[in-house]
Amino acid sequence: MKNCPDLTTIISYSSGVLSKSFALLISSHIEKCGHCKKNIDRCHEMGGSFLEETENTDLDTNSYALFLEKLEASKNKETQISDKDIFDKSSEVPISLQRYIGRDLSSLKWSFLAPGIKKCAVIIDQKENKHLTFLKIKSNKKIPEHSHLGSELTLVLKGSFDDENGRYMAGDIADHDHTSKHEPIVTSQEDCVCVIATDGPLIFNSFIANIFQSIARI
Amino acid sequence: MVEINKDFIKKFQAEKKKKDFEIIFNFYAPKIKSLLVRNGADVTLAEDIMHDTMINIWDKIHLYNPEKGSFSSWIYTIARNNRIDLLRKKSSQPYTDISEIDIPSDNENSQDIVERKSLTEQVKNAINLLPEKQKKVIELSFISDMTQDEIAVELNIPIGTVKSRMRLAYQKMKDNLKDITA
Ligand SMILES: [Zn+2]
Repeated sequence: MKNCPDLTTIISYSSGVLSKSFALLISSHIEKCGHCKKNIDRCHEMGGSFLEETENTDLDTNSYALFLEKLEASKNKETQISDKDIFDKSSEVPISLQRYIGRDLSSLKWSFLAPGIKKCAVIIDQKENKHLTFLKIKSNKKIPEHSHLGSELTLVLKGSFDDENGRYMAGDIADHDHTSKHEPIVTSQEDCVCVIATDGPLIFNSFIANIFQSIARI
Repeated sequence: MVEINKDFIKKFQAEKKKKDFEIIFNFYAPKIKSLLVRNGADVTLAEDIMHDTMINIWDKIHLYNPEKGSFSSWIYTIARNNRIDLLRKKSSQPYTDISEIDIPSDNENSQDIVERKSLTEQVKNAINLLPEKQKKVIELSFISDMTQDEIAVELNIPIGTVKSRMRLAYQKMKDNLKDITA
């Protein structure tokens, strides 16, 4: 894998402080990236060592007895394995995302964004109003500019795009903060499908989309 | 006191005796609860979340593979997931964690027989060798559950500095581990 998330993003993933949409894209990436998986393993070792070093606090009296009671009660609850929890490792959809979008990219409900570009927003957390934005872009099209606050991750699911940092293929992640400017263009013959996670809401600016459309016509 | 080493865990995985689990419970439960309280849970809630975490550990114990990492790092990931789900309420569904799906890491199997003790001790030593400033950002991230932005505010430093200290800390820790996990 050539394009990996920033090491600090990996560390934040391990310590559990990334927002859910970011965490989903990172876990999707490490399904295919042994390098980042190894880094995360090392970070988890740091977490484990901090845990061991943590000072003990007093437990309630009879804490273990109460735990055993709860354990018995939990055994009686039937664990429901829904269809959503059955994963397909061979799918083009990463296992981490299958719970949210199923195993087939074509089953997403795509809507028009600009000529040659479709989008689909998937809510991943109702309570927090967090969502992921999927884009399906035809060959040679530019990925539309959008406004967002803070950092942004883009994961390629299918096809490829290029920017000034090189080529991004399925499994690759572009890890940008708001200071970076990039103008990715789809280089694969097939449609490129990618998914974007942002800190704030992702807004496709219609003004920018218009400029983009006029550029695309040239 | 019985030591929670590789053999002990293997035996527990095979027999699943409550008597043995009590040893695991007595070691980890007070630490898990302590971290919850430090992160703002009241003691009743902390006790509840700790119990849930221990139930998860009991239920998932067969998934622990000593060749993939130390027992404490595995416990850490389970405790972290419960903390996120129940304390921070950041998500309404379980935090997706690939630790339950078998995904290979690079450079594996080079040294399978790393005892839990030696790996964790090595990491502890490596962390203790870090310069105070680097250690602090790692601590705030792993113990205080702070995001990079929150750490920047807490320490009154730019986010770029938070990132560079994190990178340096990680690199030093990794270098110190080279002899056992490279
Ligand atoms: Zn990677």
